[in-house]
Amino acid sequence: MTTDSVVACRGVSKRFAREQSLRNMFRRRGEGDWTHALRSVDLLLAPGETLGLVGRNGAGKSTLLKMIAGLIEADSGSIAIGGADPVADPMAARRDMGFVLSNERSFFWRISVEENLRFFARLQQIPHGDIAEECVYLLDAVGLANSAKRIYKDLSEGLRQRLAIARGLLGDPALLLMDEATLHLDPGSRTQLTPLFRSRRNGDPRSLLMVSHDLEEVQQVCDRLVCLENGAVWRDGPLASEIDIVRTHLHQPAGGGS
Amino acid sequence: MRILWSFIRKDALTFVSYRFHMMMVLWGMALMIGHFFFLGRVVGGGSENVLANWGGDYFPFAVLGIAFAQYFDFALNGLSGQLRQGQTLGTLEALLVTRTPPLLILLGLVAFQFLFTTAMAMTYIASGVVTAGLSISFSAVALTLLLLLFTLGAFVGFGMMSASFILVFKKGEPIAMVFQGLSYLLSGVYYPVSILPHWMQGLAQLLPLTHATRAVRIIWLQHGGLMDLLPSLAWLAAFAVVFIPVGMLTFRKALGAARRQGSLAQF
Repeated sequence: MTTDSVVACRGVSKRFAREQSLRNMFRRRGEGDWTHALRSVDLLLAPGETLGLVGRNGAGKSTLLKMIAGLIEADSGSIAIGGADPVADPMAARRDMGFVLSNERSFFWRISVEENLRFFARLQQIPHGDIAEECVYLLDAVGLANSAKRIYKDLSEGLRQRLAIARGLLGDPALLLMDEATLHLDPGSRTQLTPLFRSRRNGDPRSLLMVSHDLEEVQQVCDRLVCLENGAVWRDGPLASEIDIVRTHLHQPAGGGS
Repeated sequence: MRILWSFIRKDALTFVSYRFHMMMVLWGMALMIGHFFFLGRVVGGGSENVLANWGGDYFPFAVLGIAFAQYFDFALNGLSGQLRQGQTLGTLEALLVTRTPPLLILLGLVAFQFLFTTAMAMTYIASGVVTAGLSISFSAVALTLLLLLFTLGAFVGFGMMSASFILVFKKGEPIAMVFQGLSYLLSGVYYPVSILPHWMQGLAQLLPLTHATRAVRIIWLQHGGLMDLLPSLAWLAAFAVVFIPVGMLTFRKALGAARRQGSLAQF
């Protein structure tokens, strides 16, 4: 599994400096001046595996996802996407990777849905001749075919989220990273879109790493569940055996023990 | 090229979607031209001695200076402004996770602005042609393009340093503020460097804009050739040789620092 892993995180740690008050600005930072976001995280994702990454607020889920995408650099440990380091060799790491951001501000508000998707298709290096077909296919697949000409700012949050999903699926990536990707979707839409997350267009299973707060959604989409707690992996195993333990844990107040 | 075109198209569509803003930009430029046209009439007589080397007419002198100062503003603030906008609007992260190399993304971010700046500079020069009889020739246009290449090379390093600051500290960028203020004061955009005190004239030589504005006036007001431009081009090349590597190194360091801090998209 190690050599075949699509994503391989080994001993990944990350801490962030806290904002210092003016009074302490010139004081050397002590241990209390740091927030430990991740503590020696090991995570392997096999080809075709669908993994739900859950945890409380501030557990380190989005930080780990952004590190896998190469947006944040690890303090220690290593990350490899298909064997490539996402910071040192981002182009190789992103060759077959899609990322669905939950941030609705990550699009250009004054241009149309179609223009937005075409723009990102170009940046995802989709061949020039295939862009129109790709965009028509994806807009139809996520239920935005009738909204293609609408200006992005005029869309509802749910429709914006659908566009973010379409963007993540550009080029039919073998690996899909999703950060709270279905946050604004109604349950029916989630059911409709789930097959897109799990399978590539030729029917092959897609590797999926999904950060979510919604265990129902994770249950619907994923085979494996990883729960982070205070920046470390607390549970990691098949969804069927982990889901009840994790659900009970997450329903307890923070700091309530497990 | 197609990626750059996509950026230009996206930014052009966004620009024209703010119709009132677009009209105000054009209105502001027309006002600026009118302002210096009439100012030229007022100061024309008294400035003839000062401008004797530059044809004696203030209006073409000023618009040529302003035209090249547009590129200075673009080089200094273009990239940092676009990065800041990407951070605040939330689009920067989405761009950086695509399969496009970061350098191409940076070029794309400023591509439309470069074309817009060029359109503005051409309008300023055209206003000199129409109202002050500047003569257009093939050699003037070719030398201006050559000068533009050297000018951008001289400015871009400072722009990258300015953008580096924005990546790490987000706001309060000091490089553009200090450098821009000094350049507009000393570089002869609105008045010839020769009217400055001696020590200020010496200081002006250390600013690339001084050599760019001097050279564009040699081309258009003195009908100078390539040989006449060589000293200015040599200065601009020297700035480029020193500051482009410094700017690139600073930017690479800043990008690394922002990645380590996890603050690429923060503002």
